[in-house]
Amino acid sequence: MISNCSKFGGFFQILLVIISVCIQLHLIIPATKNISIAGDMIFTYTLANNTYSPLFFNKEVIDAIPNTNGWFNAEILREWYLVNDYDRFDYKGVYWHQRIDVHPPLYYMLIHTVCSVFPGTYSNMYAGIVNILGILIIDLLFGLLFKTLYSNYIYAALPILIIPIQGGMVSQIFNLRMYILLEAMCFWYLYIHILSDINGWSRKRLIQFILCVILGCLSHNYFYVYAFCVTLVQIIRFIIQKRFYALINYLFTGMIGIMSVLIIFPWMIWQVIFNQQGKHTEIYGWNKEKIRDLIGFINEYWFSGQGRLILFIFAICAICVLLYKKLCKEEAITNSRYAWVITACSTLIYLLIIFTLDGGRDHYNSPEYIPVLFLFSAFIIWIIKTFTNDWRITFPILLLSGIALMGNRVGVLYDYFEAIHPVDVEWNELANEYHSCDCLCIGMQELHLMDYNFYEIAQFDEVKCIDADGYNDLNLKDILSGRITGTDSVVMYIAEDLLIPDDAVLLMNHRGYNCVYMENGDE
Amino acid sequence: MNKSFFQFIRYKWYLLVFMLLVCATYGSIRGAYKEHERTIWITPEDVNIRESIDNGRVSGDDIPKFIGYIGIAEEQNEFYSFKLSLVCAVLGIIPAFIAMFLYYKIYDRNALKCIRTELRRNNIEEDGFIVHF
Repeated sequence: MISNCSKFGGFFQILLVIISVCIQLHLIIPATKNISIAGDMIFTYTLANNTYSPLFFNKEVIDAIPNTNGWFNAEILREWYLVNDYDRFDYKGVYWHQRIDVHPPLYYMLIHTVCSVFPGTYSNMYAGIVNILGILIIDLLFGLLFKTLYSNYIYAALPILIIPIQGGMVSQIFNLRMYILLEAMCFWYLYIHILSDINGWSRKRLIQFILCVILGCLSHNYFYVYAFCVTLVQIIRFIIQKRFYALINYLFTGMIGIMSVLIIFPWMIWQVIFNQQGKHTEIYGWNKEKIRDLIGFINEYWFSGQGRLILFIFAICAICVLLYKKLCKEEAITNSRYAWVITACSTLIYLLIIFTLDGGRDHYNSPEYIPVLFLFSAFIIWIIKTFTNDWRITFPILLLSGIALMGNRVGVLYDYFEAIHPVDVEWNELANEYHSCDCLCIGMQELHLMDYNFYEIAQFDEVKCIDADGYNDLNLKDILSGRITGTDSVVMYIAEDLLIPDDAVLLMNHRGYNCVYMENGDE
Repeated sequence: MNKSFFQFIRYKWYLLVFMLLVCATYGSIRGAYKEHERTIWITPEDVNIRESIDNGRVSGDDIPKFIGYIGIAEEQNEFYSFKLSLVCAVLGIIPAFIAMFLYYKIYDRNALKCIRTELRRNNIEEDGFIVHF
C-alpha cells in the first residue's frame, strides 16, 4: 500500500512538473512568434545559412554586386539569410563563417539544421526552436538537480514557472541569439559540479564533464569565463579538502575537453586570445556610477525590478529561520550547502568580470540568470522545509510565495513585448506589405546591417543604396533609372535629416528613418 | 608493479590518449595558423560575378547568386586544421609509446611511489576515476 502511494506520489510530482513546463512554454512560444528581427539578430540567419560570402555588407561588396545604375536584385540579400536547395545541411559554410567571425559554430549549426528542414522560407520560430530547446535543457537540469538535493522533482516547478517572468530571462527569450544555449551549457556545467560533490566524481560524471566542456565551448566564448569561475571555486574546494587525487582527475578531464575543442575549432585562439575583431577593448573603471548601474542591473534583470522587496523579505525570513533552528537545536542544512556556495561565488565572480568588461549588457550577463534563479528557489525551499517536509504542504506554499515575490509582475513578459516590440514588428510588416515595390535607401551609415534594416530591405524587388550627398546632388529621376521593372512603385528609407520628395507619402518613422512610398517612381 | 609493458599500457591507456590528443591539438593549431596566414580576405577585386553572369546582371534563375564568392571561399576552406591534426596524432604514436616505455621503466622508483601515496590520501572515490596511480 505504502509502495503504491509512493509510486503515485512520484507520478503526481512528475505530472506537476510537466504541467509547469507546459505553462512555461505557453507563455514563451506566443511571445517568440512575434519577435521583431532587428539588430544583430539577422546575423543569426546570415551566418548560419549563407554558403560562402563576406560577413558584412559594406560599400565595396555592394559595388561588386551586378547592378545597373546601382540597382540590384534584392534576392541577393534574401539569399544571405535563407537556406536554398543547393546548401541544405551543408555545414562547411557555417564553419567557414564562424572561423572569421567572433563566435564558435555550434549554435549556427543548430540554426542551419532547423532552417534546412524548411528551405527557402524564413520564420522567427527557427531560431526560437533552438531557444526553446535550451530552456527545456534548463528545465530538465532543474528537475534532476532538485531531485538530488531534496529527493523530489516537484520543487523544480518553482524555477520553471519563474523563467518566463524573470527580467533577465525575458530579455533573452526576445533575443534570437545563442545566449539561452549558453545559459543551458553553463547551468549544465554547474549542475555537474554540484552533483559530483554530493555523489562523488565518478567516471561517468567525468565523461559528462568532458562533453559539457566541448559543447559549452562550442556554444559561446563566454562559456570559458563562466567555466573559469566555477572551476576556481571547485579547485579551492579540492585544495581545502586535500583531495589531490580528485583534483588531478578533474584537471586531466578538463584538459581533454579543452584539447578536443581546440581540435574541432582551433579558431577560438584567434577569437579569444588575439581578439580577431577587436571587441571588448573599451573597459571603464569602477566608480560610484558604475556601482549604481550594477545595483540597477541586479534589480532589473535578476529580480524583475523587485530586488529591494525580495531581499528585505528574504532577510527577515532568514533571521526567523536561523532563530527557530537555534531554539529547536536543529541541525543546519548539509546536502545543499556547497551547492549554494559554488553557485553564489561563481556567479558573483562572473558578474564582476563581465560587468567590468561589458557593463550591464543583458546578453553578456545571461549565464547568471539561471544560477540566481536556483539560489532564489533553494532559499525559499530552505525556509519552508524548516517547518515541514511534506511536499503536499510545501509545494503550494512554495509556488505561491515564489510567484508572489518575483511574479507580482506576472505580465512582465507581455509588458516587455508591449513596451518595446510593436513598433519594430510594424516596421517589419510594412516591408512585407510593400514587397512588390523597389527600395531606395538614402543616407545609411552602417551598410553591413543596412542600419539595422537589413531584413526589411531584403523583402523588396530591387534595391539601391546611395549616400546623402548623392541624393542631394542628383535628381530623383536619374536615381530611379536603371531598374528592370521601371514601372514599379518605390519605397524609400530616407535618413530623418533629409528632405522627403513632394509626391511621396510618409508611411512610418522609425530607427532614424522616414519610410515613404512613391507610386510609379520612374515615370 | 610486476606487469609487462603492454599490461602497463592497458592500465595507463588514458596517458596514451592524452599524449595523442596533445599531438592532435598541436597539429590542429599549426593547421589553423597555416590556413589563417593564407586566408584571402574577399575584396571586390576577387569577385568575378560580372564575368560569370550574362549581361552583367543577376537574373532570378542564377543560383547561387554569389557563385563568384563561392569559388574563392571554397578554395580557402582547406580544413588544414583537421588534416594536420590527424597527421600529428598518427606521427605522435611512436613518441607516445617511447614516453610510456620510459615511464614504465621508472614507475616503481621510490620517489614516484612516495608521490603517489601522498596524492592518494583523503581520496574517497578512487575506483570511479579515469586517472589511476
